[in-house]
Amino acid sequence: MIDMEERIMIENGTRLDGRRFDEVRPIKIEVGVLRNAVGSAYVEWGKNKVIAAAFGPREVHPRHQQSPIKAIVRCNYNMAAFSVPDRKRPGPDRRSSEISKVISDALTGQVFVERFPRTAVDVFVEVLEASAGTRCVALTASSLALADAGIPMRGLLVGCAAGKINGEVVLDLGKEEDNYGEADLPVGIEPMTGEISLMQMDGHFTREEFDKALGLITEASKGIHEMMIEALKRRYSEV
Amino acid sequence: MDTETGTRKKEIVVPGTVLNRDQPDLKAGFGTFREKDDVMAMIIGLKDVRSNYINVIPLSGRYIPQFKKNDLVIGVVEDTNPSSWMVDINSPYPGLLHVNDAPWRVNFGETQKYLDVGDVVLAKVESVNTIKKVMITMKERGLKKLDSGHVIEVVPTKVPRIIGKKGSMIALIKRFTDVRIFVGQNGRIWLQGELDRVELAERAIRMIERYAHMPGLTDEMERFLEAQGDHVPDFTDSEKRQYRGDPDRGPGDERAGSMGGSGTGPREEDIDSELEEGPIDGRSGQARSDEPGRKRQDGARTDAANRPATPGEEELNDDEIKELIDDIVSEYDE
Repeated sequence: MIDMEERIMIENGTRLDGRRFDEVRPIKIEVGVLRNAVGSAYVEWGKNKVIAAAFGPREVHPRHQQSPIKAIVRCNYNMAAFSVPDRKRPGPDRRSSEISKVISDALTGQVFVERFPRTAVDVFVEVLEASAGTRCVALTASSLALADAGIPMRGLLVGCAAGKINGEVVLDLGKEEDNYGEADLPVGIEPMTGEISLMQMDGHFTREEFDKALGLITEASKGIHEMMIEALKRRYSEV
Repeated sequence: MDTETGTRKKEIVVPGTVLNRDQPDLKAGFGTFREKDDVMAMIIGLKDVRSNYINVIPLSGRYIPQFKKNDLVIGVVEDTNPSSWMVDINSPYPGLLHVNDAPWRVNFGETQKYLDVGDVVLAKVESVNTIKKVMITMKERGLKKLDSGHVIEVVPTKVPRIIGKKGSMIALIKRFTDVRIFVGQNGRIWLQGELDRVELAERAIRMIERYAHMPGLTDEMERFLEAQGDHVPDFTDSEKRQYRGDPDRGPGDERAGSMGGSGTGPREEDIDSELEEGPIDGRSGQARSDEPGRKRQDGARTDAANRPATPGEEELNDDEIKELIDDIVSEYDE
């Protein structure tokens, strides 16, 4: 982000793709898309396309990872080779390991792990198309997949980001905004309680900007939460 | 909003939904948790208010054995030890079957003679401790090794619906298909009968699984089976009523009917003898000669997949069935 020439990404109060500052990209959610997974979800978020599959509780392999007092929640985030314009070299890398970890940790806080000692709850996230903010989409999809799998949870997690472009705090950065913006703040939040279970920051916010960004996320997450509930209900009300 | 719209259609709730907004006095029941004054759903399911408790009836999820439930389960032997078997009960936790809980007198180290890997058993959950160590038992009337028949798997949360209120649904299927059925709480269902009949029964069960949350399913099912039935006996209305409400069958003892295909298998007496305590080895070897013996002969081994039905099986006693069914609080309003 150093020495990056400034790009004009805001004109007349609208962003590159015509959105307002507090507007998220269009979201489409579908639950129960995979036959062989216990629970699954597909989320389209702008140009992002992410699919998540949940399994378990089930026996832990490798054995040494198991805990005698609680379940472990493991997430595996993977980007398809064709998910980005330049082919991504397949397989785990530093970035995907990090995202797997933060999502695992975020979900662990929501699942009633103490109810299933010595087991594992697994979530596999496949990013089919990536266009900024995939970890938030991945978290949202994972949370839905777990709910679909009937795993006891405290609530549904919504992943959403805010950032700073051209000195303005805006919600849900798009591809260019992410690449050329000044800051990015992905957050995982349970909108009903306001509990935050994931937060990372790239770049710099002032305190005021940070509060504003978090405020935008909190507001937006409620709407996304509604969509998630609606998608889950749809899955179980149609036969 | 669910209260007045009727008992028929229940509201679907998701994890984190507050359930006691309009009824703050209700207590947190199954599938819920309490957060300060709120009772919230922890699983996706149907909201159900019953005698001061708010429950969530699960719509998906795995079978988790519960302490003191005495669930009837169908297990597949995974491993043998000198004095016990590990049995897969379609749950995150395998069930341990100790020789003392087996219906035979087994010498130390000879467990494989009685049950080997891949064998299917009808068992009951005896205990589950705090770290979810599950003990199962076969030492009860009717519990036994399943030597023939078919085992299918369904979503465990749909099992109460497949059994029906007081066993009405399963009795209906048995009646119309002439198939002998055990429904395990763990989502495994054992079927035995003529192949096309078993197929019909499975189709019926799959239908229930699929339309589990629809109201009036029993009637729907009856219509379906009636449409299929070539050999459905004519019922008078009173007869229908009888079997519908009564798992202990209506007219014409159901067991007799379901034994039809199987003919001359061992009956009641054998169960009794099986349950008798500690006969000497030779005797037990003889009495159930067919168990380890037959296996060696034709290599027949029951596995979770389909295998042809062979005659000569015992059926769970009627009282047993009734007892099991009474254990199950029928989760759905019909």
